[in-house]
Parts: sequence; C-alpha cells; structure tokens
Amino acid sequence: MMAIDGVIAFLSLFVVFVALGFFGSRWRRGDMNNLSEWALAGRRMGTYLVWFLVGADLYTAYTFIAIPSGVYAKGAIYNFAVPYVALTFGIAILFMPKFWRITREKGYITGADFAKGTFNSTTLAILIAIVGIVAELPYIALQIVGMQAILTTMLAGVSNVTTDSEISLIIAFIVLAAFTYTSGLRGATLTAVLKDILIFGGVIAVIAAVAIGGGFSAGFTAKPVYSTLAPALENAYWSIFIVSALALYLYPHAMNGVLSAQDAEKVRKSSALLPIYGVGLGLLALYGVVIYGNSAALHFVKANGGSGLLVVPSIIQSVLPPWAAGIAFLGIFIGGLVPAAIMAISQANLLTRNIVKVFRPNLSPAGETQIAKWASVAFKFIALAFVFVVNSTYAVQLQLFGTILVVQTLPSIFGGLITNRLNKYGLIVGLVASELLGIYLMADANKFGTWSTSFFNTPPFGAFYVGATALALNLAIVLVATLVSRPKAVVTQGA
Amino acid sequence: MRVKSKDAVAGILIAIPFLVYFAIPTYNVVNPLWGGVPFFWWYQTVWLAISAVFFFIAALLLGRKG
Repeated sequence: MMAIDGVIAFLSLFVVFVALGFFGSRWRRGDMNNLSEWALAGRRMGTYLVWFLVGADLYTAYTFIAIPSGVYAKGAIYNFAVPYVALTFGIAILFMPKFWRITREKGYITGADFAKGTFNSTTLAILIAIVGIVAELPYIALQIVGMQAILTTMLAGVSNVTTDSEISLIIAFIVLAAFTYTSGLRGATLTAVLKDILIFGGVIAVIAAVAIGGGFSAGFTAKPVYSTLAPALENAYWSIFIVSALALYLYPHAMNGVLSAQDAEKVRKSSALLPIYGVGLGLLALYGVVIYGNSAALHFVKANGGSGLLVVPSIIQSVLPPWAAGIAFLGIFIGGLVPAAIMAISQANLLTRNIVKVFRPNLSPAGETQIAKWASVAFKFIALAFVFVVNSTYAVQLQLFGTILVVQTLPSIFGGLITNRLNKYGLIVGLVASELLGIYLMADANKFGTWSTSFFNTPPFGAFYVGATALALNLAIVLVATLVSRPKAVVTQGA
Repeated sequence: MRVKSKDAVAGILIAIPFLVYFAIPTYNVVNPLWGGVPFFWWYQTVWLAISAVFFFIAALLLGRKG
C-alpha cells in the first residue's frame, strides 16, 4: 500500500473537493429544480470559466491513463491524440459560435433540439438523442477505469492483485454515482478549477522529475522502435486523428460546455486557446515510452497484473515523494470523476428533453429534473458493463468506440450549421446505416472478442479507423439522397 | 471587402495546422532529437502551442466583423 502521508494527502484534498462540489450547488444561486439551471449553470460562464470547463473535459482518464497505456503497448500510433487535440479546436472555432447563437435564439439546449428545429424531424431528433446517450456510456466507462487504476496503485499489496482491483472498481463507481446526483454542472465547474490546479501541479512535477533524471532519453534508448510511426500505419494515424477531432464537439457533454458560455465570442476565444491544454497531453503520452527506462515503475506494473493502465501512476509513485504523489493521484482521480459527471448530466438532458418529453409533453420542470437526476445514476450502471468489454491496457478503445458512434451525427449537426437543405430521410438512413457498419466493423476488427483495436484492414488504406469508414458511408448516403430528392439544392451556404 | 480579406486570413491561419499534421512523412523521423526525444514526438507537441496562437488570431479576426 501507498505510504501513509500519500494517503493522507489524497484523502484530505478529496474532502476539500467534495466540500467545493456541494458549495457549487449554492454558487450564483439559481433554481436547481430547473433543468437548464442544473445542467447549464444558467449560461453565465465567462471566457476563463468555459476554458476551464471544456479543458476539464480534455484532461480525463483518456489523457492521463488510456493514451499512455496505448503508447506503452503499441508505440507512436497512440500519439494521434496530439494532432487530434490541436485540430479539434480549429473545427470548434469554425462551427461552435454559430451553434451557440442558433441555440440561444431558438432556446435549444441539445444537439437533438437543433436537428429537430433545422430539419423538422422528430425521428431524427430521437435518433440523435439515443446516439448521444449511448456514445457517452463507453466514455464514462473509461473514466471509471481510470479512477480504478489510481486506487489499484494505492492499494497495491493490501490483498492479492485481483481483489485490490475489484475493490478499487467498486469504490470508484460509488463515488461517481453519488457525486453526479448531488452536484450538477455548477459543482463540476468549481471543482474543475481545483482539479486543474492539482493536475497541472502534478504534471509539471512529474515531467520535471522525469526530465532531470534523463527519463525521456532512457525510455527511447530502451525502446527505439517507438521513436517513429511504422509507415504502414500512416493512414491509420490520420484517419483516427481527424475523425476524433471532428467528433469531440459532437459529444453531448462538449456541447454542454459550449452552451454554458455567456456569448458566442467567448466560445470562439476560449476554444482557440484550448490546444495549450494539449501540451500536457503530449508529455503524458510520452510516459508510455518513459516507463521502459524506469525499472522500478516497469517492475511495479508487471507485478500488479501487467495492465498498461498502471503506467502513469507507477511512474508518479517512483519519482515523487509520497505526499506529492498523493496530490497527483487525486488530480487524476477527480480527472475521471468530474468529466464522467458532466457526461452523465448531458445524457440526462437528452433523455428528458428529446425522448421522454416527446411521449409525455405535459411533464413539469420539477418532474423533468427528477427524471434527469435518477437517469444519470442509472446510466452509470450500464457504463459499468462496458468496463468488462475491453482489454484494460486498451481502455482507450472505449472512447474510440464512442467516437465511432457520435461522429455519425456530423451531417445533421455540422451539416445543419452549413445548410438546412439536406434531405432528412437521407440523414436518418445515413445515421442508422453508418452506426450499424461501425458497430459491425469494430466487432469484426476484434474478432468478436474483447476490444483491443478500432482499426480495420480497409483497402486501399490498410489499417484504417472504423469511424472514418462509417462516416464516409454516412456522408455518401446523405449527399446522394439530397441531390436525388432536390436536384436544385446543391449544397450552398443556405441558412 | 475588408471583412472578406479578414475571413480569408483567418481561414488560412486555421488551415495551416491541418496541413502540418496531415503531412505525416515530413515529421515521421527520429532526428533532430530534443533532450533525447525523437522529432516525431516533440514536433507535434510544439505545434499545439503554435496552433493555439494561430487559432487565437483567427478568432480575433472572425470576431471583429460584428
């Protein structure tokens, strides 16, 4: 088990964090029985708060745990997260300010609202809501896995490896469910500020310790094959970074972050600065290589089940004094907790507004919020099931699967921001067909077993991201349907 | 006319990072190393900071047209 001063640092800061979460629900007081208050913090966030909030979405278990784990197992291919993070914000500054303006004018709070209003189709809106809810599930699962990795590292040696990791999973899950139910987005925002302070402190401390000890060069000396990308994987590389970049703002939780901004200009400026957050991500990805030069950390990983998820925690533990490691661990732990809460809240929004209300239009705002809160807890149990679908070292596949699903709403959302003349039946058929293709190819790529890849051998590209293939089918269906049904409606900048 | 030229400059600034990252063979090399880290790794991370600068200028240009 971790040294006692590390455990004390972890626990006492966690108490501060929980207190802030509760304080958050009283901050800039609004009516918490109103869903848009609970979920969007009344749309009063300025540039810096939005920057922190969306940045908090970026520093998740994906960044801290899953990407370094993928690098540890496969090398340079998993550095795709760096171009992904850079480019997603270029896409954001083009599309999201307009999205903010339209949603504000028309009173929308979800992507499904937007699709319904733009294309006048309740069916399309319900489908987009379902896709959003389902796509968040594996992403939440990834956060649970990340929290579990931290606890497993702290508990290592208390019992046997399996028991330690099972207890860790149960604690992670309970903390997450309780936190989401009580706080809502305001709590998540205040805690995001604390989380970012802890995280940046931890990242800088570990980077400095690793750099001073010559850890970076030692890693590449021990593992020279990870220095560059195999040329055969270049198509895999660009297909996965561009589709990930297109998908981020289609995730309901990222839209929530955008809509909580005060005005469109703040959306644009804060998005433009977000790639800076990615620098830490780039350095963390390197930990997957650094570990090969750190025999203590490498030994710890192998002695505790060998999962790559333990790469970053074990390096932190081996280079920092226990109290500092405890603080860094808490940063990573709530780095899974806060984004998972935000994701769950956005799912609840979609469920109540775009699905339940269609069938029960007279639902009161208080009833709506009640359903939203309970649903956010219920969805977490489904997310938990995804934890068992993936080979833990490749937990990043959970996010990559969510991305395959959610990016198929691109024609309806980004397409709808360019023109409202797309054929709605084409959008519906394209969405359904591409989801089916994506799910099938993902299963096939993994030989219908536990997930460890989302690349499918696709001529003429070779290894190619499943999300890209499915999106190509989707776009082709939408374009053909639109051109056939309205010969004059060539895609121009209509709306 | 001024609005259009601002948009064009903003468009170019946004496009540059895309061109940089898509040109994979230009950075898929080991040398020059930086503190023992291969070019492939540090070059892409450095471009995060450069992308933020380009995007921020683009955001200012797009925002001023009112």
